[in-house]
Amino acid sequence: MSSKKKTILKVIILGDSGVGKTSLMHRYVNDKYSQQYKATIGADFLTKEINVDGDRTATMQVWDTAGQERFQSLGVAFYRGADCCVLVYDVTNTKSFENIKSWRDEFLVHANVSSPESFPFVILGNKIDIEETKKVISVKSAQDLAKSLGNIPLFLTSAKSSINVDPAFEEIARSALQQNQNDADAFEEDFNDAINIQLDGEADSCAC
Amino acid sequence: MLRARLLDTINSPGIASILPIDQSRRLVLVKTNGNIEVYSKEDKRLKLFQTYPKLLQDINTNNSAVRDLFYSEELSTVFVQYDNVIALLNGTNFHLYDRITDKRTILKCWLLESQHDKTTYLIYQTKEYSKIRVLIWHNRTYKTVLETHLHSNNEIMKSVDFDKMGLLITTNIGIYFWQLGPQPKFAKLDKNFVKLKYPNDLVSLLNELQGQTLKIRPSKQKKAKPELYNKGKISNDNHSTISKSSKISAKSSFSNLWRRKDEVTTRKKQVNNIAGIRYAFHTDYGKSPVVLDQITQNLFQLEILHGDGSDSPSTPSYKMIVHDHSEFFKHYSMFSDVQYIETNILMLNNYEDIKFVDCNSGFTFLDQNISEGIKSVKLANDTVFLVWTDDDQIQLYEYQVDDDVRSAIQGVNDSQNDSNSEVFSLCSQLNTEFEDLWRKVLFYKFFLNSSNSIILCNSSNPQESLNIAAMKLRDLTVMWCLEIFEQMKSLLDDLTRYSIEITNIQNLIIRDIFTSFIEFWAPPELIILKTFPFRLSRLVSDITGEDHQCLFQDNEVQNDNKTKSTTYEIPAKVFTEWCIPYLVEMRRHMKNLMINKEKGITWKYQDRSIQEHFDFFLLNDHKSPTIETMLELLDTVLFEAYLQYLPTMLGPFVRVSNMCNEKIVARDLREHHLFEELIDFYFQRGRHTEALEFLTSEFFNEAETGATRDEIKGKIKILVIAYLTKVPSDFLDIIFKYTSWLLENFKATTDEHEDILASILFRDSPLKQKTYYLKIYDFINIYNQALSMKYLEFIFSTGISDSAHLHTILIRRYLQEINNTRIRAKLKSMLETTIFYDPQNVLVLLEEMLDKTDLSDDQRSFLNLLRTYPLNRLGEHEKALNILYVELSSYSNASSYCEKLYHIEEKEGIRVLMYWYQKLIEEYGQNSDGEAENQTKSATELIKRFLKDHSRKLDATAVLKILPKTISMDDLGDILIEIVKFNSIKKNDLRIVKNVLQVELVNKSKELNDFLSTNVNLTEMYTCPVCNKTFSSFTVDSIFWFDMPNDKKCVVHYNCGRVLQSRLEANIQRKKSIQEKFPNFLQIVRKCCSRLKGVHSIKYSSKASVLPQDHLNFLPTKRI
Repeated sequence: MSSKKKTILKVIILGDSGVGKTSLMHRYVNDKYSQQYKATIGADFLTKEINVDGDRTATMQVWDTAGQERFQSLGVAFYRGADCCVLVYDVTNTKSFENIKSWRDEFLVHANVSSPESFPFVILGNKIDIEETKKVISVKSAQDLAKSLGNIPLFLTSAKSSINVDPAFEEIARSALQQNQNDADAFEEDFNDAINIQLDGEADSCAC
Repeated sequence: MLRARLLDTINSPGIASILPIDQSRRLVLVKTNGNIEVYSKEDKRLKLFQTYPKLLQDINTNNSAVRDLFYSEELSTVFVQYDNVIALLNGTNFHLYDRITDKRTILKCWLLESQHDKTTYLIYQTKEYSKIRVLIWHNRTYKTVLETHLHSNNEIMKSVDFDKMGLLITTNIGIYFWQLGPQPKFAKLDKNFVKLKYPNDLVSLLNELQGQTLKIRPSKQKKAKPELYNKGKISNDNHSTISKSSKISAKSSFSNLWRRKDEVTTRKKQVNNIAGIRYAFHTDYGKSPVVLDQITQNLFQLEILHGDGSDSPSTPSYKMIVHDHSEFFKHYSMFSDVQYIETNILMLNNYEDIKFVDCNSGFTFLDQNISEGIKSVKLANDTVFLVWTDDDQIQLYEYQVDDDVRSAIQGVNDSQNDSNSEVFSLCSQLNTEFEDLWRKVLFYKFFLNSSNSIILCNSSNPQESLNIAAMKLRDLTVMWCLEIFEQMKSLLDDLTRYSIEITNIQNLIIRDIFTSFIEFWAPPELIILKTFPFRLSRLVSDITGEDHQCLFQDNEVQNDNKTKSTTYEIPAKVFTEWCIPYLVEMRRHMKNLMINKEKGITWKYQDRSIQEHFDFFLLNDHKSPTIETMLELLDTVLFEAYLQYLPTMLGPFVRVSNMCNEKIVARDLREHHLFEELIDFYFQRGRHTEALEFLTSEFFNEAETGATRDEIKGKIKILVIAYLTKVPSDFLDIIFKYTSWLLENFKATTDEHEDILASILFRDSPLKQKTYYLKIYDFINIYNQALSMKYLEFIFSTGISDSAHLHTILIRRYLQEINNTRIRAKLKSMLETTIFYDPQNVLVLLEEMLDKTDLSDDQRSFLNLLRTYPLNRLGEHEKALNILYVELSSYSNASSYCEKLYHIEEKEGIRVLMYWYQKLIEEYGQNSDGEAENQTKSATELIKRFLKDHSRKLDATAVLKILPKTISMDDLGDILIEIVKFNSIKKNDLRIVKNVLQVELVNKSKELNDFLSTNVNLTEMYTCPVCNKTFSSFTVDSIFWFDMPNDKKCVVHYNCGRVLQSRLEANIQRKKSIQEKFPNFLQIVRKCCSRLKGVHSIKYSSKASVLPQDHLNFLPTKRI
């Protein structure tokens, strides 16, 4: 007996505090933006139905995390089953860019993914709406970083002005789906074939 | 485990039926004579509260006996079941308010209530035609009645349970699902029975594993087979364990018995027992319903699949997961009645015994004998149950944890009590260490998960006791899991090949064990020593210095018996999947503990939140390592695990903050030639010398000769540069040392040197200490002076340094190259625009330069010009002006200097301009004494030019006062006209402003007068709207005048004013709260509130008098 399982894509957003993780999530899922900064506590998630291969749908579960405490507050259970990890930095904040590598490393340690070398990451350089003079991370250095981490897809986004957010998440969904598919291939059915049981208490009650 | 205590007994002959009502803590007894007796439960005793004589006689027209009673909390109704009637009585006064009549004879009735969706179901089966009818109330309102018929006329309903979508009905010959809702559907569930491929509990998995290993191990099968089959026999005879080494009892292997052929005959005998239990229940709302089926000796778990898009949502498909429960029924076949209590516990009873049994494992937690014989047992509120005995007694029992458990959770030493605390149970006769552990684990889980935990523990400090119980459960679970691991190990030991089944079962066992270890924060030392491969477990003694031999004493005895040690190791894939997360989780807890040493960290289990400290992770009777040592152990074990099983994770792991043992990690990385990881590890640990020493000495010297050597050297150069660029500025000495090494070992062109120096030392981010910039400058200066100057320019242009000293250095460097026009421009721009240099020092530098005799005029002029910038910053504007006007003879420079100054500091600018003007006048005076007409003319021209450029900024009177009289008006005519024009424009502007302000004043005065002139007429007939009394014209009193929200004016007495004021305020407050609750409503309410403009206190009197100030609460007092 086969059972169709609904595809749920678990996407985790990581990055320094204040880089715009929550804003990106809200922009993508709700198409809304709030100027007000409110620190995330622990973790929070939103879901969005996405189209896969034209006719199939999947649910994308976008997990937003608190950037303040790094990995001390969330246990391995949180990261288990992640299909894609989004690393966010702020184009006006050098430190947040420098920390991208360590966010990636910390994620790999905590998520315990089966093949770290092929696990999908996506880098988002957020806040590109801000005036040029305040930007401290050049496109070149971001591209170099993405290349050095294994040709990770890079998107320069603005949650505020809704620049490049949808294409970025489309790529995230694609990567997550691919990863999910790989995991699903390894999935084994939980049940044996159907068995026959006579509930009326007749003699040949059970064939097993 | 649990113990029932008889609280009270009442004798009441002639009982027809009993009904405990939880909500009001009452017991209703219906007598055969039609009386109703109501007892209330007070202080754990039953007291007769009221008797309703012959109440039911009038209802029962057919004179049939009361068959059963039910109570609906939602409807507050007692349902009395007769043969053909169900009477509905008011739950408080037992007045009959409705009746349901069915002439087909009501066979059996059930009342179910779902508190989640506020729905009540009354279900009954009719004797004739075998119909089932359900009446449904939703939110206390009767909704509908539905009826269906069973497939056979001989079918008898056994039980009923509800799911979100409908009712699960069991009969003696089938199980049905009655889907309710708009399109009801009654379906027999006679297909889609599936078995889990692998059991879902650890003990069953272990048994399954045992069966599988015996298949693989033909040589041992001969020995083992009798044991296995003995197990069945032993089980039947209630004897001991399967084997000494495995310690698995017959009881613990329900699922294993599933396939046993010798059991089939037994089951076939039992399946014919159509009178057996077929009980449907659910463990929690929303969870799948379960059917405990004695007829087929199974436990069915119903999974309803609510459509996946392909099926119509109105016809959900289902799946019945079958769990073999033959062992359960073997032991409890004598029990005919079953009721679900909570958290997997069932209450079974027969004529003389009541048992509380875990529905999965079959362990008994309570056993109560009722010598008087049992007619019926009813669960009452909390932990109370009522027994209606054969001699018409009602016995009130309360169950609680027994003394042994209580002493354990209240901190009394319980080591002896625990082992001797057996009550009669399924496993007590098969008492083994393992079963005892298993039973305790299940019992403590039930205890902590129970909604009545606090009452169950019967402690003066229940929260503390429950916390201790949770910690006890933690210890027991860890020990139990370790025991299972040991059994698994002994089964798999020496096995050379695994079947797919063995691999999968092993995976599941380890998954479940380590999930428990993570959930219960199992002590790391214990888990590593007991479960990890020797390569990893030896690290415990290497790092903590503790051997922990005591943990292996039992094993040694066993090993001695077997004369060999175990060789089993967790397979790599399983280890990475389930064991590594445990290590990661434990290191996270240790890190949190390091941050919160005093406060501790919170361990949560169910609804318990317990603050735990480091000792929670330690073993008893062992030396206590520090948190740092524990973290070192965990990290090093994790490192070795990665090295062994998942090398791709080594890089990320060594790059994150870790406390691995440095020697071990460095040694292993070198041995495995993982140099990149080694360098990353050194870098993360701040061991830069070691890292660079490795790169520049060991690695460099190991480079082979010839072309490869050069190639490797080139790579080393890149690696060293890359490393040095990352080294924090705190390690400047190291940076300098290895930069020098690079420069010495890679002798190349100046450009290449520049590249090396620049890429290592030119850093965008600010350095930790300001002195570092100077050190770096000095270092670069040794190798490349041009680059050192560039370095200073770089740090100033990026804004990472504002050191005055470094600025002075750069200025001095610029002055040395004063002939260079580009340098000149830079120097001028720097002095003109920067504020970070020390002007005094720079002035000295410039003057020192000017003292030199070999300067050209051009250089001297330039230096003099530069002097004006520091002088400007020092406020010595006259000196600066003199340089510009006198020494450099530049009227335009002097003029622009004054202009800039005037715009920055107006007063200072005027003062300097006046100084310059006087200077011009003096100059004119000196020239006019002489005879040089040309000089006089040029002086006049200068004055004229000055007045034209700056006269507007100066006071015209002061300027004209000192103007030499010899200058003709003709010369100054145009300038004076311009001054007059300028001043008249200024005057006009001021006049306009003055007029605008006057208009504003008039407007405000009018508003004030309007406000002061508002009035209200009080006639003799006018009554106060609050008290409806008139205002006396003979008393002197204060009254209030309110502008009401509807723009009406309202005059009230002083005291009434207070009342009205409080009413208005309450109204506003209420509207505010509505605003908060309903933000969209806010704007409408706000519009209304805004009309309440304020209240005035006024005074009326036949004589004018002054009111005390404290009476004037609001806006200005008015007089009428």
